[in-house]
Amino acid sequence: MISITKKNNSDLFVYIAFGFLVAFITYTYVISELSNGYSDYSGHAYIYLPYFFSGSTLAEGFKAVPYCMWHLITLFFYKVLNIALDPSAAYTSCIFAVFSYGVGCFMIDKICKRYGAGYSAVRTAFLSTAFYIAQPLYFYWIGRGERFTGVYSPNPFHNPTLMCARGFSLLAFCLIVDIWGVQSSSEYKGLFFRTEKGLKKYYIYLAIVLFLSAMAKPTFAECFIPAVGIIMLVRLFKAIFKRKGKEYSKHFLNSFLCAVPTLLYIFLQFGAYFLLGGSYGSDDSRIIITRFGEVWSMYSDNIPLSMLLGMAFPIYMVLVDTRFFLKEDQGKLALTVYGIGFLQAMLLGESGGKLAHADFIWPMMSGMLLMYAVSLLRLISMEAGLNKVSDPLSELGSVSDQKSDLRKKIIVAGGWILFLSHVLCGVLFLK
Amino acid sequence: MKKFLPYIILAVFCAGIILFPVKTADEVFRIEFTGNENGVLEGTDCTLYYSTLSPDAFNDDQSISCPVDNEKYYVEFRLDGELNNNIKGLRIDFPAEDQLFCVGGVFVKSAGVLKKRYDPCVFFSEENLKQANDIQGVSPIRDGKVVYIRTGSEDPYIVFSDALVDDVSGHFSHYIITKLLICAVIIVCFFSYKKDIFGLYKNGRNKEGNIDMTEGGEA
Repeated sequence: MISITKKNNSDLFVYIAFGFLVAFITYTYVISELSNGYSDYSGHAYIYLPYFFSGSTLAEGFKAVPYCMWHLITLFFYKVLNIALDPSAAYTSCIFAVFSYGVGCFMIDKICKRYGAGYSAVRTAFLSTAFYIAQPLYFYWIGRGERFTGVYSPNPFHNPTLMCARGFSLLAFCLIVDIWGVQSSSEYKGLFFRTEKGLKKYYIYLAIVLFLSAMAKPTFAECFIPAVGIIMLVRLFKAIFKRKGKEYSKHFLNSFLCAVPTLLYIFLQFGAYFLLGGSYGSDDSRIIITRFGEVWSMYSDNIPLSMLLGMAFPIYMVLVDTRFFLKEDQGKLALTVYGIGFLQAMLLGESGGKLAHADFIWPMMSGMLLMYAVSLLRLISMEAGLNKVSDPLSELGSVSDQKSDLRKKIIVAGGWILFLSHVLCGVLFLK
Repeated sequence: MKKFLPYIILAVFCAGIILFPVKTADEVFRIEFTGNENGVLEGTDCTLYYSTLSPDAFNDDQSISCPVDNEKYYVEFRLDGELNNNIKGLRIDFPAEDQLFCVGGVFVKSAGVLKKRYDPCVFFSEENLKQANDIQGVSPIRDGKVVYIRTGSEDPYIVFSDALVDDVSGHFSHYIITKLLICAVIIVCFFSYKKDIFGLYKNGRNKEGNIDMTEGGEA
């Protein structure tokens, strides 16, 4: 009993230590970005945040930046605790960074427990930190030449609001995976949560988490809700075909109700943004359908190449385990979210001068985040499966079995190499 | 026949991707300057003039200007894909400043991929310069693979030889490798789906196809 407590305490210390590392990385990065007048951080801290005070009303602030979670918390540090603006902005980002790191640890830990991967706290915390840092592959002689021009990231550090939504996005994903699991089988044992006692509270959690993600930045909900809707609609039709439509329509309705507050909030945001003349003061801005890839082409000479650099690890995982991404709930959801985000990036834009802002690329980055998360979780489960196969008895197996094991080991090793290459690019980016 | 149908669909789909007409990619011509105190380029901008089959002369309508940004240490010119097979001559105008600067690299990119990297000493060698106006000296440092150029304050420009122009303008991409890579991804996914290397789909799944997370489930 004493040794278990000691182990738990040392695990907690490891998680906290890595959490401080994440906070330190975020703090130094935000402070350095704030000194760059053209950075997103400067824009949000020095231009949009003052809308919430300095003679303006909260309503004016909301009109200018309807996704105001980062701004309100920064405002709390700045106005209520009287901390200078730069550290206030950095502290806010640190809070959300540590939160999303914590969600990453939670996801990895749950997957390890489910598949018997037996990861130590150090390994779990390291992987969650690495997942937070991972950036697109970068070679100066590929692409536009400037770092990340046209190659987008699952962790766009330079944007305070999308990073603010990161933790909520991952939590919403975990919740829907378990909700779907219970919906498909009453005997389902939750992967991330204890769903044995019913789904009622998880539906409420999902509604809250989705709403908070939209409050941080609506881009995740903009592709997550349609993706969940499409997948569930297909299932509903299948259920109707199998004469189980009545039962499944209840699940469909419950899930839809979770999305209603968020949808209303997004409509309110869009109204403030496009109808009331928010949109960073651009009066003529409205949503338009562009030529396929018109906006992305402004920043990339070769969109498939940009996708490859940004998504090398998830693409590799899709290549080696296509069936997982087409048949499995987690993979299917991540792929659909990315697909919807990709279509938004390729087809939507804002009219006038704001076309170049490429604001509909953000949902795709939320999709990239889920693709990375699912790929990492899948890689962990693959490795765990491999370790189970590699017991001494397997030596008695046939030559073809051993060859198959070797091939699997090479595939898993390739996955880790690619993932860590993304992490290395992230470290070099932050350096 | 039914057995081969997926393969036929796959082949047709891939053929469709390869044959799908796409606009020729732009070609990016970049000259890099070394950042030492003697090498930095002063002035407002550099201009690349190109002559085409018609008109076969340098004029302002056929020019691309690039501002000199000494934080980036390079100037870059984007030649539109429609100029493929149509460029007859290239002339680069440096800022009209009496100065010495150092060229550390010259390369051509298209479709985001480096197509050719030139040794600056070879690129600015005598045989590759058809005409040099108000250029007071071109000094290659072969060991360091850099070339120092001294320009005057009147109208410094260099017209490149026909052979070099043909070489530089012959790298417009038609996205063939990109298309082949897309096909490769689709084909690998197809076979990966069929092969199911990690086999979890066959084992430990419930009827809906999800991993069996119920008590006693294998996964």
